[in-house]
Amino acid sequence: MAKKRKKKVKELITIVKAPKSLKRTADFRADCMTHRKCD
Amino acid sequence: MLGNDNLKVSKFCRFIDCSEHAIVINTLYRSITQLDKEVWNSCQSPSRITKGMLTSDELELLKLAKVLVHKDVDEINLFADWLQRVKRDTSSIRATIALTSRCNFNCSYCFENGYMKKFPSDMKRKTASVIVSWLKTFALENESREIKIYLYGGEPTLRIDLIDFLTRKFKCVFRPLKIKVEFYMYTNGAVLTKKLLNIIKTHNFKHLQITLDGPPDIHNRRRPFRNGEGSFDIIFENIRRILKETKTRVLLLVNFDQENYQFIPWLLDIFKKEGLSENAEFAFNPVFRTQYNKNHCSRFSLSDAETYNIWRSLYTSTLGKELRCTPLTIFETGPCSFRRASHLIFDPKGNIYKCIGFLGTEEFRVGNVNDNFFATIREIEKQVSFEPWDNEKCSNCVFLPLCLGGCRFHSYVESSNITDVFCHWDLIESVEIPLIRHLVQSGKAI
Repeated sequence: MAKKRKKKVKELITIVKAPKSLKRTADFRADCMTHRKCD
Repeated sequence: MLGNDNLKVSKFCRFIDCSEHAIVINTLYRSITQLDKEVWNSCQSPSRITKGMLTSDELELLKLAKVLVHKDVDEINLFADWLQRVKRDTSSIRATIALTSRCNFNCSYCFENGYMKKFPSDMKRKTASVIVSWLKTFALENESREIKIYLYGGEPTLRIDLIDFLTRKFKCVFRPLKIKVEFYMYTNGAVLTKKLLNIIKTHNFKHLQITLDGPPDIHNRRRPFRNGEGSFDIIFENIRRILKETKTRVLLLVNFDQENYQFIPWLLDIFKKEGLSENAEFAFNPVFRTQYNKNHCSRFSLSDAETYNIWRSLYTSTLGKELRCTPLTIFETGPCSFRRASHLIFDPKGNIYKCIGFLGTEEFRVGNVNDNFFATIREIEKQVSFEPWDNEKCSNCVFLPLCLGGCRFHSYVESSNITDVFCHWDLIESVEIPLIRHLVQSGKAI
């Protein structure tokens, strides 16, 4: 059973960077790992 | 509501232990979550997450963050579907156009030497015109909404006449179709005539990528003009003019190896001191060894471990000086141009390729702008379809969505074919993971 916590849930778990939508392909701009040329 | 038993830790989650807390990244969704040690201790073994050690609120937040997913989700399928969507998204075209294979520099580590020597050529105006028509056909066939033009070479500023022609032609052809046009340029930064500056301003170039390899003596040794004279002062002055007189961003690329890495902080400091950092961003690239720059690389190459250490410290020290880096991490970015149907590279003769590294390599030419259009599209599709990651090792790797089986150009240089996996595990583990940890711990935006 989950322990009773001293802190609130948002202090325990912080979403620093929200998940991207896998449907919005424009959010994944091209990157070249070899030549480091990026959009 | 899903209970604990219906959840599992995503296979694309990498847990990063820090002193005060833990960080979890999901490499497919590109999410980053910080866990308090209290929660971290409850789920350090992923199986403990689903054994009632967390409250329902905590479970909900972890699901939102994509740390937890439904146990029946086939994540490899999810990844494969996402990759197909990215590959075939043609809403935005990226066209890199090499205006000439000539260059006014004699860089000691240039990897394009072989191509330039084998195919010295300049683009004819007629070819440039046909390229624009070809791209118009491509855009209409694919209902594209924007086109990004990257001017390239050799050195593109040796053909200001073509830059002038192409910028006007693209706007004239694409604007009536309501397709947005953006311009970028890769240049050594040594040529900035009044005419070119005017073109950059008129057509609102988004950014120019210019290389500086360190303080003047170091840079001039590595990147002199063909007559041996130093180029640093001219380039620095041109960068100053671009930043002061236009809204165009400057992406400062620094190619590093044993010869110059210790001197790069000087460059960062001078940009800050001169007040040039507002519209400037830095990127760092280890010099890449090919058959064409063996002399330089045999003297100055770094080992992989040294490269990763230096690369990591260059990024953290740049950020520490409140300067911008781009891309910050590969977390921001996605599959490369080789894997995207709408990213194309054109050489001066109108030949089409899928990667800048393959320019001039006949076996990877997908066609020419004068060939049958649909035959070329089929060849593009063949190269884009290739999946080097479809093997047991890659399929079980947490970094699969970032690596995708690795760079095809790197694979070709190492093994003379593009089918082998080129594993980026060490690079991601040694550079990207510590960088993400550093960014989260220092509270910087990612």
